Amino acid sequence: MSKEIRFNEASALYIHIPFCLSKCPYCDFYSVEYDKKRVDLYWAALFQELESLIKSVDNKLLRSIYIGGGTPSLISGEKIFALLKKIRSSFQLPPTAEITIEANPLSLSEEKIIAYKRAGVNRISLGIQSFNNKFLDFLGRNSSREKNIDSIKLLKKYFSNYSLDLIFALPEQSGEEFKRDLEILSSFNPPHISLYNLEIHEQTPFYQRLEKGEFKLPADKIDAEMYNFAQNFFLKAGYNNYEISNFAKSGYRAQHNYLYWRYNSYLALGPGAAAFNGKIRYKNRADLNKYLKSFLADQKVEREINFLTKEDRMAEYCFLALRTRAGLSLHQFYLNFKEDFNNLYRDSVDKLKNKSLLAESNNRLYLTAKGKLLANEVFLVFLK
Amino acid sequence: MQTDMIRNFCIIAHIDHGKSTLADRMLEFTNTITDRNMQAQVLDKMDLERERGITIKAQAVTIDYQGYELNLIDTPGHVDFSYEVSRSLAACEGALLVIDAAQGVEAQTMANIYLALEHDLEIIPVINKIDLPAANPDMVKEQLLDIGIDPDEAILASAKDGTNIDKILDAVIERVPAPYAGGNEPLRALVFDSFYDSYQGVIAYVRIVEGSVKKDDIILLMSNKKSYEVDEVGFFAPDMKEKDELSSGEVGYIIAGIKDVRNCRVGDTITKKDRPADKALPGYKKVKPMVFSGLYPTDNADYEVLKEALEKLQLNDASFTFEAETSEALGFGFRCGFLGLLHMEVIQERLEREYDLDLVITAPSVEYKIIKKNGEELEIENPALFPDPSETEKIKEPFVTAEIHLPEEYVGQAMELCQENRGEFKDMQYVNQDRVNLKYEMPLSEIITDFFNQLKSRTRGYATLDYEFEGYKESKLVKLDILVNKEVVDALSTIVHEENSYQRGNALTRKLKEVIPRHMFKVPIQAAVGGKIIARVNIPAVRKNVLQKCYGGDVSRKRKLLEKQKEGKKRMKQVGSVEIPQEAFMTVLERHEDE
Repeated sequence: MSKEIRFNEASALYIHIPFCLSKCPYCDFYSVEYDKKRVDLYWAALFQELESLIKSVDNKLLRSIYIGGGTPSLISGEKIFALLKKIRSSFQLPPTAEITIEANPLSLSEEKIIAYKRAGVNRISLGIQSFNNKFLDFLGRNSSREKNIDSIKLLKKYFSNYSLDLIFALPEQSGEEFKRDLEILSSFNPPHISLYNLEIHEQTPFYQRLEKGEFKLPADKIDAEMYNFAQNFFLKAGYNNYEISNFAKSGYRAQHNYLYWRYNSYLALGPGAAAFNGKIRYKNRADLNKYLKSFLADQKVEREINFLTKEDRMAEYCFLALRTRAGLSLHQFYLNFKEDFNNLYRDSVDKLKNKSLLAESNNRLYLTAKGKLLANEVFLVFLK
Repeated sequence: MQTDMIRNFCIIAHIDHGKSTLADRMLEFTNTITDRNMQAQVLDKMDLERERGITIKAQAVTIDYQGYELNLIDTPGHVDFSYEVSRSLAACEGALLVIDAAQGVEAQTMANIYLALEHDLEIIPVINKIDLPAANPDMVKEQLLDIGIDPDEAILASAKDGTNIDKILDAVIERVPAPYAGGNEPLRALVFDSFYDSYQGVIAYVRIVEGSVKKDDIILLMSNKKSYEVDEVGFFAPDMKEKDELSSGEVGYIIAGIKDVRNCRVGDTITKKDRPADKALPGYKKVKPMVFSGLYPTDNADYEVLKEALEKLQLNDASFTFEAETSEALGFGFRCGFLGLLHMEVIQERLEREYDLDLVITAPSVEYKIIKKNGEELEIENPALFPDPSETEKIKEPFVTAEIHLPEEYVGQAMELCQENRGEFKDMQYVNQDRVNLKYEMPLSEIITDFFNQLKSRTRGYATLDYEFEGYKESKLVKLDILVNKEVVDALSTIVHEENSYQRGNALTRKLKEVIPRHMFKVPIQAAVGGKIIARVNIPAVRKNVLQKCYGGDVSRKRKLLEKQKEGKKRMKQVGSVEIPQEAFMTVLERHEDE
């Protein structure tokens, strides 16, 4: 039996729902086909993992819960209610705590929205991806422009805090098409938007198809133009680009992700979910069958444990912080690691400043507009 | 030992025809080595040799069989080492000619037969791998007839299964002549290989042709007149076993406190100082490297490690040379000389594996002779050092006779390829009704740049190649420079024929565009001859490189993705402000794909 990993505190809890009606060909998050019976069993297993997790946390104050997937909106309101109730009984959740559930327009009915709200969910992240049927087909979303629009309208009736996801830099996507997506999206005036270019991950069907030459990604020049366009577009619409890919109206920043980027500890439940206690990161094995089996056999969940060296942690701290508009505070870096940032990275950072990728003021470093486009080039500097 | 009880023989074969397996089986059969100690292919000692299934160093072993002393000498199986092969053959009276029952006669089979005949060896043909479903011994027998070998003398065998190993051994005893018994001549021993042992110094593999040698004798190496006191003599069983004396006809080793293999070269004759022989044994030559390339540590800090590694390798390999050189692009490194491409690959692989070095290797080149207008003559193996064309009177380059052995149906393709590589047709002969032997005279520089790969691909792998150095000839050659981001990268310079310069410049710049990663700025790649730009492509700037999606808790994975990007960068060589990957320096090799 592996030694228990303890958490002094953990401000966030991530719960993975590994079920989908069908798998989107670009997605590399772990999920299996939805099956009612297995969901019932899964819920029991999840409760058991939660039981043992509770024991490993000292300070039980949670500032955010995030139910992600997979497709969490396949889960009934009752189940979510029961889960959140259980969490509330063991953890302390201040009234301001953010409780998010991810949803797919196909499975998000009005009844579910109401039930989730009753269960205590106070934020919904809706996977729109596109308003263009051609691209929705390509992305394997089984949704349509109308369906997406109806879903947003429904959501707005009950939730003031919600987020919409959009994917861009799709094969042969024109500037016009992209602009149209942005216009429709902003017509709803959503408080939060996540905007991603289409990234191709190994071990996804899209990876194979790309390798075979079945489609081509747009040149990075196009990708960059679209991204720049979107930044200006959202800026004019009153959004704050508070992280490379995220835009929020004042007061609507996603707290959960923000806790990640600020290098807080977090807890995790479910296969494929990752947790971090400040020094160790572990990931539950992404295998539902194994997960259910260990539940039935009353065994511990299999985990891939990653002991982070100080070097690893400093690198992660820097590149996560730089993703945000608030940037990297050199003072905060010192408080966390008791190391002088300048000793470690000053030369490289100055080179990046000369290349106009980084800017510095008040003892903080930020990505410039160019730096956001070439952020990896900046991040590499902090790695061993 | 009475010489009539000694047989000295070697095994000759085309690569992959089962030479080393046969040797192993003979050792097993005769209990020279027990099953338990048997690691497949005992005679190939280096891991690399075992992995690639090739023999690089000659090996010898004494087999005790039915009262006879059978000395088996395993020869290297590659054209790069043809001189070493010829010395091994000179140490024998007979040869087992191993032919794959499915593949039949190949170019090296032919080359080996000629060599064996040249040394007046009794040839015992062995048709091996008869266990294979595709085995066709009758076809091989017909081929043997065609090349003047009596097919009735052939032994059908399977080294893998151990079939007919006894018949082969019996044939060695019956057919291979006993060595010359000798009279009272002074010692003459032929060095057919040598290697360096850090405890004992150089161990010379010898065949005693006349006379005898024992501990405490003072020996004299006839090529350099150096003398040494003998510490030990013995034979291989297959480990070294000391004995009192080695005498006429025998094969064994001599240890005499020699510190450097270069003082005990393959082919040299050992005699005694107090009673030297009048004449050395025939055939000694100091082999010279034919192929040169620059070796540079990717990380400049590894320079000393590389130097030490090269020194160590040279201890054991007299035909490998190196000298320090400096490249503006690559920094401090070494210009190394090799016998051929395989020799080069083997050394590079050993450096990377055994010494854990990350290397940048420049494209192989040959040694050019340049006669300048002022009459000065230069020998240059580094293209970067070529003088300005305005100062050159003429340039000579090494030519070889290439022998290509292939099925008739691919003759057209092979001839075309030879012509594209400045080959001049010399001869074509039918080995039998569907196998052809082609002879071309070609510049060596063409052979060492991807020629063999091209030949293989155009003949579906059926062609085999052998070549021999002919001499130097004048050619119209120019230096093709490559400019990356407007700066000449000396390590990318190559020598090309004038007529091909435009085509090569185009192909090379396009190839480099594929290999050099994009930077944050536009990088022009240009080709130039004598300062005149003849080709140009641009590598566009990177406009976006960001892990845009970074939510979910699996930050470790994101970090690893970035670490991978960084690792890739580390393996590149920074030239000016541009990072050039290792493979770019070898792109000059893969020339024909785009043309």
